[in-house]
Amino acid sequence: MPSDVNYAPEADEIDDDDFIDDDDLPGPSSRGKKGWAAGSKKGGKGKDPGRHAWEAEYKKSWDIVQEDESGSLESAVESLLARGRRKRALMVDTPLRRSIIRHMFIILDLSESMLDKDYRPTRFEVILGYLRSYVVEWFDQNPLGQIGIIIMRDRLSEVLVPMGGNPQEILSVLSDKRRLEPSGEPSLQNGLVMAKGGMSHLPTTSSLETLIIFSSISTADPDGPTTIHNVLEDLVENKIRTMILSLAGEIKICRSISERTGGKFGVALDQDHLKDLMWETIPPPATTIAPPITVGVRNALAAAGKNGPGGSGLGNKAPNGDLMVMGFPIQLPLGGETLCSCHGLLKRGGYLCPRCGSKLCDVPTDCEVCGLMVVSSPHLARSFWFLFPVANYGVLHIEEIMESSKSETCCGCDIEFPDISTVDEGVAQVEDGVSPTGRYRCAKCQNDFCADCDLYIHDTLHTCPGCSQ
Amino acid sequence: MAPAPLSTAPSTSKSYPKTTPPSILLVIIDIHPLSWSLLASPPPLAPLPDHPGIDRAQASPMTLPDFVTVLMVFLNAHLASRWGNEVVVYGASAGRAKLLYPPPPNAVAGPSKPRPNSYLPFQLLDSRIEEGLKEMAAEERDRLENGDIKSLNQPPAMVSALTKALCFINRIIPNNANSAALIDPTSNQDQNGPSSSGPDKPETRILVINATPGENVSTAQADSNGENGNNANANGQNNGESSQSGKGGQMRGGYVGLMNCVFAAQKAKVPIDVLSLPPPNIDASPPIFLQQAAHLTEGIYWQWNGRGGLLQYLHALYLPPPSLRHHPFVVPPQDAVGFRAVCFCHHKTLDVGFVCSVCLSIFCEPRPVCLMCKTRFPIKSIPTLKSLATYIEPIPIPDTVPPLPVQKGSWNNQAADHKKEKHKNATNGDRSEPIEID
Repeated sequence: MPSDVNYAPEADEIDDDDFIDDDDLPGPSSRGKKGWAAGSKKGGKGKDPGRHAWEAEYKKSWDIVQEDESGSLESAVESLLARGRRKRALMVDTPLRRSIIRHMFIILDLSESMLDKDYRPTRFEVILGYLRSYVVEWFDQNPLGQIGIIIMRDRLSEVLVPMGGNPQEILSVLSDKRRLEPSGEPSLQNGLVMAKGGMSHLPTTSSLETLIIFSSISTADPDGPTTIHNVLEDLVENKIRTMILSLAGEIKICRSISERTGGKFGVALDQDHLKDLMWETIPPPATTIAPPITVGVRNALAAAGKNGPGGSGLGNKAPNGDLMVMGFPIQLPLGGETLCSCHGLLKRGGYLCPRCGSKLCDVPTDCEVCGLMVVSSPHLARSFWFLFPVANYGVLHIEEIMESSKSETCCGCDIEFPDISTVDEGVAQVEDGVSPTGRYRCAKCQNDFCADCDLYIHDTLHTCPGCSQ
Repeated sequence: MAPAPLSTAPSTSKSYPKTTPPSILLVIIDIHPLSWSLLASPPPLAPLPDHPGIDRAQASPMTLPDFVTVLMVFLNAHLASRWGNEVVVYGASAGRAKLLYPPPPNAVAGPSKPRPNSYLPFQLLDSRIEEGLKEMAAEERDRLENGDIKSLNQPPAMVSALTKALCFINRIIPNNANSAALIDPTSNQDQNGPSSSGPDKPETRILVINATPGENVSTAQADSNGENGNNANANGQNNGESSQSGKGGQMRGGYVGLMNCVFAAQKAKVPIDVLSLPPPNIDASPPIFLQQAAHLTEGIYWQWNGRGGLLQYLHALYLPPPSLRHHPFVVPPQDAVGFRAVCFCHHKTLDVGFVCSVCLSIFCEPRPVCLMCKTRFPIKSIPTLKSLATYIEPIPIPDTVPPLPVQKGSWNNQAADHKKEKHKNATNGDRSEPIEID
C-alpha cells in the first residue's frame, strides 16, 4: 500500500528521472505535466537531468498548440483538453483503505511576508481566497472530518477557529480580513505545539493532520530547552501527518518535518500550482502512516510500490478499528415547536433519536438520553464511493467498434458518437489513454461512454449508468 | 393556489424576479409493469376500524395510458410556460432505463405529417413519448416471451435513469464553478447561489415519478411487495428465490448509487423532485430513499393520495421552476424524513446499525471483521454491542405533517419560516403574501 496516497497519482512519473532530480516538488502540476509532455513530444527543449527548474528555458505555452492541416486550432486544443482530462481520470486508481474521519489543523503563516506581491494582488489575498474554496471542497469530500485554523504571526500562534465540523463558521472567520492582518515573523514551533495540543484528546483511530501554509523563509522559535526538533519527535510519536506548502522556497526544516511525519512538502511555483498542491490534500489519505524515513521522495515511492499489492510490512498489519453503534434519526419537519432534549428549549424541526425517541437539535451528536451516536446516513454515504469505486473505462479502438458496436450513442448522456469512418487511421495511435474514437468502454457492463461522461462519472458521479441497470 | 403563467410573474414588487432563466425538466417515469398493474387495480380500502359507519373515499384506479395523458399535458404546459424550456424524458422499467425523448439523432425526426391545428413541439413531444413507451413495452413483452421472467422481478432502474439524467445535465451545463474559482481565487465564487449564474443559463431539475410501492425503489423487497398484491402473472412461484438472488448487486448499487446521484445532484445544484404514485392503501411506507433524495437536493417530495386530481397536483407543485418555488410560490410542507440506511451485509433498512470506524460501512449485526476493509474489531466488545442491539424497536415515523392551516395567519408564518431557512439572503422575506389570483 502506498504509504502516502498523495504520491500515488504521480506513480506513472517515476520513470521520468529528471522529475525528482531537478525539482523538489512532490509532484508537478497537471498543467506542468501537460506542457512538459507536449514539449518533449515536439522534440523541443527538454530539461536535461542536471538542470534545475529555473535554469530551463522558458517554455512558451503557445508553442504547444499546433494547427492541423486545415489551419484550425480546434483539434489541437481539443486533444490537449482530452489528454489532460484522461490523465486525471486515470490517476484515480485509489488504494482501498483510507481514513475517513479526519482532523486537520490548518496552520496559516500570517507573517509580513504574506504581503508580498508575487501573487496578485498579494499572497495573503490569494491564500484566503483559496482557503475559502478549499474548506468547502474539503468538507464536501470529508463530511465527517473536522478542521481548525491556527495562525502564526508576531512569533506567536493563536487558534483562530477551534476544531469543528461546520464549514460556515470557518468561512465566516476567513472572510473577516481585519482579524487576519499579517504582521511580524512566524514561529513554526509554536504553531506545531499548539496544533499538537489541540489534537491531543483525539483518538488515534482518526487521521490527525496539519496543513501548514508557510510564506516566510525563516522561523523565529522561542529560546529554551525544547527546540523544533523535539517538537518534531513528538509529532512523529503522535502520528500527526504534517503537510507543508511553502510559497517562497524549500526550507530544510519544513522538508524534514513533513517527510518524517509521513506528510509531504511542496513549493508552489505559481497560483495554479499552489491550488493543485492544496487540492491534492483534500482526498482522504491512506491510513497507515509512513515509517519515519528521511531518505526522500523516491524511497517513499519505492516503499509504497513494494507495500502496495502484497501488503507486506506495515501494510500487512490491519489497523485497529472499532465497531460503532450508530443510529439514523428521523428529521422532523418545521412544524410546531417541541422541547429538545439537548438544550431544553422549544424549537422547530430537529431529529428524533431512533432508539429512545428524544428530540435532538442537530446531528451528528450523541443522544442526550440514551447515549447513542446519532448520525445522518447521507453523511456516511458520502464516503461510500471509496468503497465501491467505478473501474476505469478502457479505450476503444476502431477495430473493436467494428466488431462489437452495441450502440451509436453514449450510454450516459445519449449523445451520438463521432462517426468512426471519419476517424483518420493515422491518428489512431493511442496516447495517454485518449481514445481515438472518442469512446470508452466499461469492462463490466460493456457499454460505451463519451469522454465527458467518462470524466464526470469518475470524478463526480461515482456510479456507472450501465452497471446500475 | 393556482400557478400563474411563469413568464408573466407579477413584477409589481421589486423582489419578484422579472424573468426566469429557461428551465430544462428531466422526467424519469417508472414504467415497471408490475407496479402499474397494481396501480390500475388498487385493493379496496378497509373501513376505519373505530368508525365502521364512515365510508372512506376509495382510491381511483390509475392506468399507465391515463397517467401518460396527464403527464403530456403537464409537459406541454412546461414547454409553453417559457420560450426556451425543454423536456427530457427517461423511462425506467424493470432493470433497464432508456431515453424516450428527445429521440436519438439517427431516428426519423418528427411525425409523418404535422397537424395543422397543433403546436409542432407539442405534437413532436407527444408522439415521440408515445412511440418510446410502446417500444419499451414491446421490449418488455419480448423479454417475457423469451422466458426471461426473472428480469421482471428486478426493481425499476431508477439509479440508472438518474445517472443518465445527471450525465445529460453535465453535458449541457458543464460545471463551471471550479474553473471560475481557478480564474479568480480572490472572488467569493464559492457561495454562488442561483442568482450568480447568468440570466440565460438554463436551470435544470429532475422529476422522478415513482410507481413502485415499498420502502425503497431499488430493493428487491419492493418487488415482492408489488407482487403480493396481485400475482396473476406467471412469476408468482419463483418470486422468492429470484428476488433473493437479485438482491446482492442490485441493492448495493441501489442505495449507494442513489446516494451518489444525490451528491452529484447537490453539487450541480439540481433539485430532484419526487412524485410517488402508490397511494397509502397500496403501501403506507413512503419510498424513503427517494424522499431522502428530494430532501437533500431541496426538491419537492409528495405522495399521491390516490383520489385523482393528478394533473392539478402536477401543475401546482412541480411546474414552477426552482427559482420561483419559494418566492412568489410556496412549496408544500414536507413530511418527516427518515434518514435510514441500508446495511451492506443483508441489505436491510436500518434504524440503528454498526459502523466500521475505518471505512464507515454499515452492518446490521456485530461482526469480528469488517467486510469491506478487513479491519479487525476487538472481540471483547462484541457481546456488549450485541446486547445494545437487541432492545431496539424502531420508532414509528410520527405523523408530523402539520395540520392544514385553518387561519391564513398561521399559513403565512409557516411560509415565512420556510423561506428564512432556505433563502436567508432574501431581504424582505416577511412580506411574502401568497399571491392571490383573481
